[in-house]
Amino acid sequence: MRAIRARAGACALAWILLASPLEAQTAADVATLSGPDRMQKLIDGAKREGAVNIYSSATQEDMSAISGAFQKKYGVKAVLWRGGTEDMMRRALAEARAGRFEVDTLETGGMGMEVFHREGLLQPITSDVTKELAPQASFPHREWVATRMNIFAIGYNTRVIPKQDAPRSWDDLLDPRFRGKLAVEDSSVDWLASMAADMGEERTVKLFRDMVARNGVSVRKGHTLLANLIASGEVPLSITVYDNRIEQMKRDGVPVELIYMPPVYAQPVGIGVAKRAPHPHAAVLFYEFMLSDGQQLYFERSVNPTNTKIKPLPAGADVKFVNFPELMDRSEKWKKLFHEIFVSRK
Amino acid sequence: MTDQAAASPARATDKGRGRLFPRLAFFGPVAALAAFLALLVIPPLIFLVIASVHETNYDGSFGEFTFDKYLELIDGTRFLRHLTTSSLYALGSAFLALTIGGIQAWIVERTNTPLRQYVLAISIVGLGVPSVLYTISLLLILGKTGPVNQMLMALLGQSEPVLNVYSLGGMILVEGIEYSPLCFLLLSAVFRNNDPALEEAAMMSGADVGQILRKVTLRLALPGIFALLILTFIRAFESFETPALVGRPGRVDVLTTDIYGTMQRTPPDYGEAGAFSIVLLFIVAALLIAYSYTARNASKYQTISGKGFRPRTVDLGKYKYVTAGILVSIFMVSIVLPMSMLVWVSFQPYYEGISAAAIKLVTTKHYLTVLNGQTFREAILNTLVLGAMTALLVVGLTALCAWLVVRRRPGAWILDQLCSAPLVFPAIVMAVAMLEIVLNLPVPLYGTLVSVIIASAIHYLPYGMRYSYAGILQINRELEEAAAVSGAQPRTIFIRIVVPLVAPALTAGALFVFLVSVKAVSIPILLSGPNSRVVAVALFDMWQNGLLGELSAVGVLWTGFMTVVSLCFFVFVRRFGLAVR
Repeated sequence: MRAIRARAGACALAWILLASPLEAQTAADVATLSGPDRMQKLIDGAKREGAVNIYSSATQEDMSAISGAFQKKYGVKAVLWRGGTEDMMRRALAEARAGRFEVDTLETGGMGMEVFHREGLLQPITSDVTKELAPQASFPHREWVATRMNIFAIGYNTRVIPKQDAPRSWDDLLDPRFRGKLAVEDSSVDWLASMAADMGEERTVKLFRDMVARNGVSVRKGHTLLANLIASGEVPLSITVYDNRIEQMKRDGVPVELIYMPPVYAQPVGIGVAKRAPHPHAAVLFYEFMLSDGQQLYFERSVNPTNTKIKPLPAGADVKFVNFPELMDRSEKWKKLFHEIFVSRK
Repeated sequence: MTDQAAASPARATDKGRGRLFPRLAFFGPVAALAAFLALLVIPPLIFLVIASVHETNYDGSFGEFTFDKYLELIDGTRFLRHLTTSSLYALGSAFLALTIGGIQAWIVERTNTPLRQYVLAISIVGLGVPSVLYTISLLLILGKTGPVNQMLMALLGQSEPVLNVYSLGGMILVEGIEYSPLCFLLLSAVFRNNDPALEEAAMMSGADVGQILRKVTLRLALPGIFALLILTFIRAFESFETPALVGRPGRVDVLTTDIYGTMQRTPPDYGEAGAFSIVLLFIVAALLIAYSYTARNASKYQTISGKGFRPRTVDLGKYKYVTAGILVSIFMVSIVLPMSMLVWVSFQPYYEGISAAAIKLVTTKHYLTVLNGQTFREAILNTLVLGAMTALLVVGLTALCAWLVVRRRPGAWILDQLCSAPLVFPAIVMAVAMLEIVLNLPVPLYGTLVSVIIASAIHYLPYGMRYSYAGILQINRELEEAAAVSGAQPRTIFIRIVVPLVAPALTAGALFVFLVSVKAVSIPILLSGPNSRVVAVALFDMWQNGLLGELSAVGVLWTGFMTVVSLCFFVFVRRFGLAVR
C-alpha cells in the first residue's frame, strides 16, 4: 500500500517538476506570497499539490468536520493524523530528527507549538486573517497562531453546592463548607504556574497548600471524566475545568455552573506550517482556512475559537493566555510544585 | 502426593533412555529463533538502557550521560513507602485475579456445575471492555455517590459514604477483577488437560473433593499458577492506569505514580521509566529462573501421555448449585455491574447518577453520533488485522519457543528470557523505541500497520509465552518419542503432535493476545499513520476530549463487536477440531 502511494507520489512529483519546473517551491517561498491574488495562487498551488498532511490534537470528529469542509471547498485532499500534544511532539520531533518531512501543518497545544517553534520546525507566515483573532492569539515570530482555547474555570454541581453557597473568592474555598468536596485536574500545571505569575508565587502556593490541608483536594485524571463526575455530584466542585464542557452540560439542563474567578487563564491551541512541508501551498491554504472558516466550525462544535467576534470571551472575565514561552523555562519547577501541593502525601 | 506423581509411569519412562535425536539436532532452530527474537527484543531494550542513563533533550534526542535516574528512583524517604504500597498492590491484585480466575476455571473445566459452558463467553466480554471504561464504570458504581454507597448508607443509617474506593483496597479490587479473565483463560487450559487417572486414584484412596482439588488438581496446575503469578504481579507492579484513576484521588502513591509524570512532561523524560524497567527486568529474570526451577521436574506435571485420557468432571451432587451460585456472583460483580453501568451512561445525555427521574432522559443520541461518525468505520478493518496478526505471530513464535524450552534443548533457556523481557517495557517506552527504529530503517515501515503489528507482537510475547509454556509442560514426551521412533522429523513432530495437543492453551493464548492488543493505545498512537488508524486510539481520543456518554456508547458497541468476533473464532477453531475437548 505504502509502496503504491510512494510510487504515485513520485509520479506526481515528476509530473509537477516536468510540467512547471519553476514552481517547485518551499514553504518559505509560499509564506511570503502577497498581493490581491495571493489566495488564488494558494488555491492553484494547493490543487496542483493535491493533498495536505495535517497533524492535529483536535478530536477526530471536530477535525473531520473541518478537514471535510476544507476538502469540499478547495478540492484538496486532507490527510489527518491525530494525537495529543505529547504524542505529536514525540512523533513530529522524531520525524524531523530522522530527516523525514511528511507533515504540512501542525495543530496542537501551546506548549507543543512552542517546542516546535524553538526546535525550528515552523515557517513564519504573514497573513491578514490573524487580525480577526483575539490579540493574544498571535506572536511576533509569526510561526504559530492560536486557533482555539481551553478556558480554565471553576465548575460545580448546584445540587450539592447551592448557588448561594458558591465560592466568591479563592480564599472562600478554604471555608469548611467545602471540606471533602474539591478536586483538580491532574494536568493543571500550566494553570497553577499562571496563577502564580498573577497572584504571586508565595500567595498562590500558600493558598493551595492551605486548601489541601483544610479541605482536601482530590486529583482527577482526564477532563472528560472530571466534567462528568461534577455532573454526577461525585466531585461537587473542581477548581479547574474546561469551561466549554460545563457550558455544553448546562445547555442540556444538567445542574452545573461555572465561575470565572479572576485571574482567568486560557490554554491556547495553535497551528503552524512546517518549514519543510511537502505541500507548501496546501499547508498555507489550510492554515488560512483554520483561522477563518474553521473558527465558525469550531464554535458550532462547542469549541472556543480565538476569533472573539464569533464567540465573545465570557462576560466580565479578563481572559489571559497561559504564557508558554515563559512557562517552558520554569515548567520543571511547577511540575514539582503541583505534585508537592496536590499529589504527594506529607 | 508428589511422591506418587513421581512414581507414575510417565516419570519412570523419562529416565535412562537413549537420545532419539543427536544432542545438537536442535541447535540450528534454537539459534535461528534466538537470533530472530533478539532482533525484535534487543533494540527496544538497548533504547531502554540508553534512556535510563541519559538526560532527554527537548527534541527527544539524548543529552548528557547520567546515573541520576537510578538514584532518583530510590531517592528519599518516600521510596520505601512507595515500594511497600506497590508490592502490596501488585500482590493483592495478583492473588485476587488468580483466585477469581482459578475458581472459575476449576468449576468450568472439572465439575458438572450447571451454566458452566457460558463462562468462556462471559470472560471474553470482560476482556473486550476497554480498560479505561472498565475502571471508570467500577468507579461510578463504587464511588461516593455511586449506588453501592447509597445502598450501604441507607442500610446502615449513615450520612457519610461507607466504602472508599479511592484506596489501596479499591485499587486491588479494580485491577484484580480486570485481570481475572487472563487467569481464567490460562488455568482453564491447564485444568482441561489434567489426567483424571490421578484424581481417580486419589478418590479410590478415599479423598474427598476438597482434598483432590488441593492435593492433586492444584498441584498439577502449579506451574500454570506460578506463571500467572509472575505475569499478573509484574503487570500490576508496573501499571499506570489504575494507580492514576483510583489511587491518586485518594493519595495512594505507588512507584509508578511519579514515573508516569516524568514521561508526560515537556520534554518527555524516559530516563526514570527506563531505569525502573531495567530494575524490573532483573526481577523478572530472577522470577523466571525460579520458575524454571519449579518446572524442572517437568514430568511431575505431565498429564497428556500415550495412554488415552479424557478429562473427567467431578460430580458435585447438590453442591453443584453452590458452585453455580459462585459463578453467577463472579459474573454479576465482574461483568453485569460494570457493563450495566456502561450501558446506562451511554443512554444518558450526561451521567447524573441512577434515579427514576433519569429514566425519562434516556437517549440514543450518543449511539447515533458514534454510528454516524468515522471512528468505527475507518478503523475497524485495521483493528481486526492488527489483533489477528499479532495473535498469530505471538502464538506461533512462543509455541515453538516454549516447546524447545520445556524439552530443555541446549541453549533454549535464552528463548524464555528473550520472550519474557518485553514484560517490563512500559508500552509508551516500547512505542517511542519502535518509532525511533522504524524512522531510521531503510525499509519503508514508517506509518504502516506492519510496524504497529511488530511492536504489539513484541509487547505481548511474554503473555503468549506463558500460555504456550503452561500448555506444553503438560505433554509427556513419550508421544513425541513414539513419533520419532516411527521416523518423524522434529518439524513433523511439532506440527502433527505438539500443536494439536496443546491447542487449547494456544487458542486461549491467541484469544487473549487478540483481545488485549486491539485495546492497546500507546503503541498504535505513535506508530500508525493516517491510513492505519485503529479503534483503540479513537477511543482514547474520546477519553481525552470527548463526552463520557459517547465514550461509553463506543465502549458498549466495541465490547459487543469483540465478543461476536471472539465467539466466531471459537466456533471456527472447534469446527476444525483444533480444540481438544
